[in-house]
Amino acid sequence: MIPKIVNLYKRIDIHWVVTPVLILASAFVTNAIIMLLCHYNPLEAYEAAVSGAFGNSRKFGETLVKSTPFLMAGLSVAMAFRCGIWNIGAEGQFLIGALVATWFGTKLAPFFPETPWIAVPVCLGIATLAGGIWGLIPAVLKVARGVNEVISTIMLNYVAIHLVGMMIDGGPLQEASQRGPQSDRIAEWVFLPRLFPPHRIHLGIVIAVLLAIILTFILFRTAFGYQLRAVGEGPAAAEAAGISIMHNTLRVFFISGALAGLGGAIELTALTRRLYLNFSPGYGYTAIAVALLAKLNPLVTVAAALLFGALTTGSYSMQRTVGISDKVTFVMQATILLFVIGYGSIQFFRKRASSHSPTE
Amino acid sequence: MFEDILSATIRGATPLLLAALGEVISQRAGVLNIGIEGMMLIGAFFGMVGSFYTAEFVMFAPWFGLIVAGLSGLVAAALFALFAIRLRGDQVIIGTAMTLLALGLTEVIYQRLFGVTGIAQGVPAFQQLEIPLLSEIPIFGRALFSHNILVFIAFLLVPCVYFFLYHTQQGLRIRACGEHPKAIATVGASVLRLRTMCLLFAGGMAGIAGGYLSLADVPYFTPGMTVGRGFIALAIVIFGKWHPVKACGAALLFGLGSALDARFQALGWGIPYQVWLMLPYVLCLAVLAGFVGRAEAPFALGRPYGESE
Repeated sequence: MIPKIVNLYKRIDIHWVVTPVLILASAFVTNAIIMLLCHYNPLEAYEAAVSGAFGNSRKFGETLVKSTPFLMAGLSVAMAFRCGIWNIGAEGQFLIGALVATWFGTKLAPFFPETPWIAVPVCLGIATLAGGIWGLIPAVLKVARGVNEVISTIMLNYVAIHLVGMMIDGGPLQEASQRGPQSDRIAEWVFLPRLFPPHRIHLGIVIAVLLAIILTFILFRTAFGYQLRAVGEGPAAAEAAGISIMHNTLRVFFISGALAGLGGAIELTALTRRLYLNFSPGYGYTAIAVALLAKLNPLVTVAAALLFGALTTGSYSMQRTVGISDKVTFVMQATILLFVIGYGSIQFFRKRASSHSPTE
Repeated sequence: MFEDILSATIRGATPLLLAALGEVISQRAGVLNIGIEGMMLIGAFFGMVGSFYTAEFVMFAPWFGLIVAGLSGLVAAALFALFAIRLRGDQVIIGTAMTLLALGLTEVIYQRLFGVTGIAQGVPAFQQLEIPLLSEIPIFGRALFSHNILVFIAFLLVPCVYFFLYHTQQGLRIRACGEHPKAIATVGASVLRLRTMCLLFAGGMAGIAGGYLSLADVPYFTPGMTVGRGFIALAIVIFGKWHPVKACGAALLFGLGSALDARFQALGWGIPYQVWLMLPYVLCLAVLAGFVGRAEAPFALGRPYGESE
């Protein structure tokens, strides 16, 4: 009995719990100091945040809703980073998914029978595919021309942002009345169902959590997952063992883009139901903090995304109660990222840094 | 019309050029500073604040604002250096954190100081300067020589940075630091100190570029007012192949793009104006892919360096 518990304890690895708690505690303290310097009462603010995020079932439901894009984009980032690919492009891939879903929902939907059982899966499917293909652009540039994916994905984010602008601001997807820079509402049979109306909790949350479980299985229990992690932890050794870095780069970029694209499509078909400028308030960048806080583990990403969803709904409540701008969430996200680097994850990056062989 | 476009091109290119000159230096030393967008935003905000609180001294306020802008960029870069160079964290992640931090912090403080609607509209700003005689040259005189002083400073800095980088010992060391840091360590110089200095310079320049936006381009600050200009500066550095003079050319090209964008929008030509907005990023990708001449990044770019190695 006792040895069993000790074994279990060893398997869980204390760092998995301690480091994130340390990171979060430090980030909350730092933010409290910033609030004090700005003459806001941090205790009052945090209290408002907690009650705003978890106060009652409706508020908690809203937190779940806000967590979904963080989870989808976070999974996208986690898969890419696991393979040693610095995909900063989740933002663009998310937008492309939403754009294609809008195109389907406003232009193609009339050709489909008016039932969500056919239209919704097709819509999410092509948006996922589109996100994956958008993700393949930096992948091809990397394997064929040696282009650093950090720069190419940042640039492609802006291409995607302006592509969305082109389509809905004076382009073919702008609303029929041409009043504002937004699309028409998608057809009703493309709405991703909400589970408990009038709450906004929708099927997308279930899809995202299921995906997190599937990805965890793929990553830790399949040959493909093993290859992917091997490339991420030591490309030279992986290649020597006969694992093709090129194939894994292409595959992982496709998967990463597809996840983000699906995230965009879910957000669009379940919540906003139309596309507008600034559709994403930087989900793709925040996702980097989500994934790193979860140590790039898809299952832990669920918890990290929930936390970031709570920060978002909490920040609205802080704004109402103590008057601090809700953009304070960005400060929180940034401090979390900096403490991720400052604390335990340093070892992770040291390992990565030394694996950048000069032959790369 | 021509005069207008030329003048708008130069005005649009200036903040991009200021930020890009700093970024050229930091990337040549091996530090990939993608927090440049955030540093610009911080500069824009604190520059405006500096000018707002010294507004009684109208002549002096914009200068004070500009100094504050530069210093705030410098502080942001120091934070970056602490994590990227001292702790050897990943530069991409720190850069992302920097940009998020700037987005949040500037808006939180702005709302605290000036409220949601913003009472800091119209702080003292840099005035148009007419260079005597030169600005009277017909056709292009006014377009080239009638700007605020920061425009002239930015373009005069181009040969300075070029000379520094290619014709001084420090410049040589910086370039070596980005290609083969070990060599620098062997001759007894500190890679870490050199990189920190370059990063601080980049931060200061990004701050000043931000200050240009809120003290010369327009006399006020709006949250998120850099709208991706930092990333365009990043594209310029690559499109300009990490060379200050070529970067200046790239900045002018993208300045022209933004000048034309406004006019095409008014003319209602067939091309959607977003095509012009996309252009810098697409061109940057084309250069990286080697479709428009091959660009070689500094070899050690983005890699943390340990003194023990």
